[in-house]
Amino acid sequence: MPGSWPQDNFPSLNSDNHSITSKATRQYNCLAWAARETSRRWEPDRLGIYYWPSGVPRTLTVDAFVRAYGTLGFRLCFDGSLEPEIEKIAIFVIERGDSKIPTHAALQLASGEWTSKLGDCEDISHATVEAVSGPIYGKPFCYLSRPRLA
Amino acid sequence: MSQTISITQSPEPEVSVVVGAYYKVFVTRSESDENTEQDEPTYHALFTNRCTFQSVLDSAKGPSIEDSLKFKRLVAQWHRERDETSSVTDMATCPSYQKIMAMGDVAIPLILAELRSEGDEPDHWFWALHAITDTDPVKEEDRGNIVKMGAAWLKWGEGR
Repeated sequence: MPGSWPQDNFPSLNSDNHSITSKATRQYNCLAWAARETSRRWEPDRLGIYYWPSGVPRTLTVDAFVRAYGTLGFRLCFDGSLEPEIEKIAIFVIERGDSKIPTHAALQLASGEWTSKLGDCEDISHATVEAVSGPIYGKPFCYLSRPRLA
Repeated sequence: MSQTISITQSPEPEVSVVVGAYYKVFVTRSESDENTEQDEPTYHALFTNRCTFQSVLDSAKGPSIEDSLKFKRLVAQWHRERDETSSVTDMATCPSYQKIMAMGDVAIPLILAELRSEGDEPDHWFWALHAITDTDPVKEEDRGNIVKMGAAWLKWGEGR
């Protein structure tokens, strides 16, 4: 059964490379999901309406995203390859002129698959990190890692 | 007890009273079937005797039918415009969302009614509420928890 997201937004997703793992909800978003939070949304909104880690600039920049996950112990790493006992996050960007606008974060599972929350729609597990690339999320730009929690 | 006055004594144009009362009567009646009996005198007085109660006059300050229809149209447009972005900032910069915010105070009861109808899955109204009212009743520890954020705004709305 297809998810509730517009199929055109995720042209690389097909029935063979992902599975739906939750119902659609607005109660958390992709940034929270990558941080393993499901009870609040992470948003770097300038008005300060939503949750964003304390002390991290509320800007739509890769640097702010890296610092936000840094509060959970994630640090920049070379790639998204599977490493034993290491947990990784991919940060996606879309390019607008010379700017790189962060759009999405996906979390690597212990199996090597990735998991993403698609906007206000469902969250999914997907075989490759690039499976959610497309016109909305752009493509993976950098990776963060930390020791996998027990 | 509310004071009964004649509509002809009101400094307000008659049409504005009727428009506000329409909103009062139909919104109230559709939201609570058990109040039908209680609402009947107001309905009767409004549309037959052309006199009204203070509560109806007060509700005349609410959104007009035109405002309500405009709001509904903009909400539908906003749902079409926004993509599956995770960014509330992007959603809030949609032209239709900007137009809702530009409606100003008159949009507040409409947004709160929408928020109430959405239950545990409130839509992204917090940006607009904050921008229009320049206030935020949400506790610091509840930021991001949209269920608690929605409850805080509904409580704020009751106290207006």
